[in-house]
Amino acid sequence: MAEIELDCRGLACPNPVIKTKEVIDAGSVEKLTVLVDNAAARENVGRFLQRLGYEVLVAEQGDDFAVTGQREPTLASAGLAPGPEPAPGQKILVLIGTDRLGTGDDNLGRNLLVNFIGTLKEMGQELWCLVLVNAGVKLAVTGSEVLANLQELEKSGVMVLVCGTCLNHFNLLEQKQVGETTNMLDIVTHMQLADKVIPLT
Amino acid sequence: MNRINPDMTVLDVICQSRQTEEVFRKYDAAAGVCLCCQALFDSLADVAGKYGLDLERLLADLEGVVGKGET
Repeated sequence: MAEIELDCRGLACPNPVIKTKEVIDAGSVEKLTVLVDNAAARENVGRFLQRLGYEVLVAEQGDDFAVTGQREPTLASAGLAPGPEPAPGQKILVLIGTDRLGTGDDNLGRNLLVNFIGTLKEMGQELWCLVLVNAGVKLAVTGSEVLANLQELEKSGVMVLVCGTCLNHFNLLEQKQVGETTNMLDIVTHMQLADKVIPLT
Repeated sequence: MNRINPDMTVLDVICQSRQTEEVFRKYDAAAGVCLCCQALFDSLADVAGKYGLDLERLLADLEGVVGKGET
């Protein structure tokens, strides 16, 4: 099963996502276009596909939206054995569990982390996802020195996931200014989907 | 044994039992948003924290309908 179109116009959330899930669960889908007629469905279907490793494109069609998800066929579904070298254009996930880099001097550590976040863009297209947990969530809130850098990364297509439990713990839920609030299942799923995980804790 | 836990997302819960969608709809007014629209990928714990809902009551209400109508 390679390419499918699914008409979910007239359906309210969560039905477009449920129907998309049913189609994907039923077989290997490389490309799927879901037609929806409201912004919430557009966001949720896009997000759902993204979580499953699809590259997502949204096109406006009058009052409707066509949300298209495409992903490369897996080696297994293509009947190929995995090669020894990772493919070029790998997906890198950076897990940040701190608001300072290294130990020894906290001020130095904070400055180093600001520098680190500012330099992350040099990874280019391979930087796929940034996950902020524990004190790392403080980077995504009002007043953070790296907020503009993170917003720029997100704008360029990097997925920024911010631990909801951690935001709640630090009482920062309302101050979050960048990224999607997420949970542990989501974080684990993204780590599994990534080609390389770089932890910074 | 509880079938619903606080780490499950709204979507996880609805996929497990479609009847739970009605429960979430009943909480929309208290949350001030459509939970199935705005919080589909959030865990129940996060939803409760973010929208000021009683997590234990939400879990109990969801448990109350899971499995109903299914054989």
